[in-house]
Amino acid sequence: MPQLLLELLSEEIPARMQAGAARDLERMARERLAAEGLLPEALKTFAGARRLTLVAEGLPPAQKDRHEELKGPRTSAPDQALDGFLRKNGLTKDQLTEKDGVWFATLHRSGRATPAIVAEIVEAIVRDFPWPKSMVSGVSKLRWVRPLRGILCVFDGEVVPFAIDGHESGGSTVGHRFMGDAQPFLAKDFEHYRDGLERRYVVLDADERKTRILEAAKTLCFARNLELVEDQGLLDEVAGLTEWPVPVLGDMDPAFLDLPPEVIRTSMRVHQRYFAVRDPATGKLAPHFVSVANIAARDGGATIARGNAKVLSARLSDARFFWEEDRKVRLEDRLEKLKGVTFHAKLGTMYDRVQRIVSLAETLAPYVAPGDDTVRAKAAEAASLCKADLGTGVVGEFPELQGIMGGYYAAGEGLDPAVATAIREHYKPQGPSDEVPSDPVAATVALADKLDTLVSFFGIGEKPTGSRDPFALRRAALGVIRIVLANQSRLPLKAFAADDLIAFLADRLKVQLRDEGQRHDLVDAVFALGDDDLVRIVARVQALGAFLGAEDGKNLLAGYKRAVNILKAEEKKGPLPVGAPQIYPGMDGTEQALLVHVSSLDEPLTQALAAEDFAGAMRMLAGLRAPVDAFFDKVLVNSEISTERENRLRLLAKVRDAMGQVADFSQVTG
Amino acid sequence: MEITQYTYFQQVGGLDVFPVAGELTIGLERLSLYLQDVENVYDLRFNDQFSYGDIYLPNEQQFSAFELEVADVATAKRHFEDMETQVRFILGHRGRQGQPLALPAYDHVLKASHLFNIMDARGAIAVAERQSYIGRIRDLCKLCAEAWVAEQGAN
Repeated sequence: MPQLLLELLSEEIPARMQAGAARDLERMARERLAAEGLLPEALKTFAGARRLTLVAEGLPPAQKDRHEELKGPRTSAPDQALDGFLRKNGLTKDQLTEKDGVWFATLHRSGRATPAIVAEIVEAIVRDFPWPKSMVSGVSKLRWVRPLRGILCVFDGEVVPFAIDGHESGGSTVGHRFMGDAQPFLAKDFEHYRDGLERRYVVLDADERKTRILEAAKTLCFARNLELVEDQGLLDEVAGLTEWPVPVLGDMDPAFLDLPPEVIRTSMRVHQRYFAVRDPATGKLAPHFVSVANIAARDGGATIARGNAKVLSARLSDARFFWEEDRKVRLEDRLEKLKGVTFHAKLGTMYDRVQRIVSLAETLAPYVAPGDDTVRAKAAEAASLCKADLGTGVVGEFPELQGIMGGYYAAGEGLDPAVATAIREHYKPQGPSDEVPSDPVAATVALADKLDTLVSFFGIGEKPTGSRDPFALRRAALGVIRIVLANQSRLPLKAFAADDLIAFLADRLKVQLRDEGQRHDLVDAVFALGDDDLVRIVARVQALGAFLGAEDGKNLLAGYKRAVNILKAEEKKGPLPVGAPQIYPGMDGTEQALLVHVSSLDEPLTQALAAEDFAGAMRMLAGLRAPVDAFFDKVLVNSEISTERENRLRLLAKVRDAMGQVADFSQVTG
Repeated sequence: MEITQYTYFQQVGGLDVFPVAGELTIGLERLSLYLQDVENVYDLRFNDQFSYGDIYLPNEQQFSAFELEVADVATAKRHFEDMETQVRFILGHRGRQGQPLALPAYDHVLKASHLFNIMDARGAIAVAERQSYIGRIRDLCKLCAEAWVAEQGAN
């Protein structure tokens, strides 16, 4: 079956857009081919610095012929109706047949040849392509991410001819900009294309480029008894900047090693796209780097390494200047400047925000570290200084080092180590894989920082909607949840958050628990109790999961559902009898046994719940399984004797209420 | 190391243009650093007698001191607002041939832009304010461009 090969060659595509472009090309091609009835057996796309490529295997040479029967007007209908029908479908009357008094036409639509359709689809894809940013190049008015230089489009070994705003399709492309012969070469299919590129120093597949970079970089380091500091984001980026990636090991002036390692690594990564290198013996940064050239240089990269080292020196000298200047001003003396920094038009300045965080930190400290009075003062001090590094030179240069630099400056001023750590870590956790601050002072400030964000933005009605979450409130909420749970802080959320924010936090917790593998119906069953203590909620969910995972739990749930259904049915007929069930003369033995059992739980259950021994409470409930099953086996609730019936309903209500203290079992499915 | 940058100007004065212009910038100092194998730009040989630093270092130091430490923010702000008023004032007048005064008006936009840079260098512009200042300069620019295009179209 024929193969389609498409390449869109352009000037350098920003690395950050490439993976998305490969996905968009695949999606658009699949959708549009399918809409024409052309289903490839396989379809794959590639993206790199200069080209977007698509290969679709096993396309039919043409669409299938289609036969359809068209129903026309009745034979008795006026002539105008028939004329209209013939005109609309381009038919003549002798093509019609009559069936049961109605005109029918059988249409044969022959399928179009695939190349003609491909030409239309490619043009539409190029014109509709959702680049985050596009431009015109002066040659034509066609918009593309960067000037489009060539279109290769080959179907079944033949060029698919078309032109888009003067850009004509062809059957050839070029290899690397500087290496190889720089002459266009013909590619009659994907194998030729891929091999032809490889021979001309272009690695088509981004994953292949990454593998080569990583292996070569590690080998370079290993040979000098060094270790590469791996960085997935940087690897993705350099694989998008190079067509023929060649890692080069360079040297850095060891004098720069007195800078904080984060500053060195960030300067290398952000400004220069270099990988840092560490000494495997100490684990500390070594005075070297790995850069990735887009060329295999004749001197093995020595000149490139020297040039890169020179630029790195200039960058690190700048960083050192900022680092030294920054340390001349105390963090405390930078606070005044925060008054001139707007946090959000409706939420005041960064200075106002700091005041709020301080006051929150003071209130939160006793919950995060009950009984440790020193935490409150330290948390307040750390909170007051936590945003001061926003005015420093290093953070101005590298915003991603906010917090980290504040931590260094605080330590340099000789502030309490707990205060410095708290400043350093108060933005944590920044994502699901980031760690939670464990020191109580740091946890307090981190919690205050996130709660202030949430309370403030909810207060001005800026809640996340759908995929829109410009202030990263979901991340902040998840941060609150993780800090509270990791520190087992008994925080009554209602004291800090309004109902909508609590509902939002509850929602994030549900997502979090679901991700951990808890059943979402169990989360709902616990949330229905209206608790606002995250630690207790999670303990309940966990106990409930274990309980319902066991045989007794499952069966008791069935009994519970039966009891609730009966109560609901009876409730429809009239109000349920109130009051406690009683022991009465002539009472059925199993009924009495259930009553005695459930009554015996009254006190121990209350005590267990008060002690938050949820597993214990669940165990007590599990004991109800046998008497409940026996009751439903032997006893007819709807007795003809009304006192019996009422007492039995009271008994079921008592069982339901006892269980309801532990969780809302009606929310549990199955 | 990057020594050149190529830019396609998609718009001029906020107006789409076709064909787009290309601009190739070359860092002469950077090139020279390589050719002369020198680490510090001020150590470059300007000619047989003088270094780059002999000629440009005093300039750099004086302007750095002025723009980072000395410049009076209130004055710069007032001048910025004056320039803003001036641009609209100039565009409200016409020359003897009835032509709009787009080029002198644009001169004053450049002055406004320079004053903004000074305020920014003095750290006097908060993050949220920055966008608003840039937007004001852009608006002025567009007014000039529109006046120029209107005149071109009339001829």
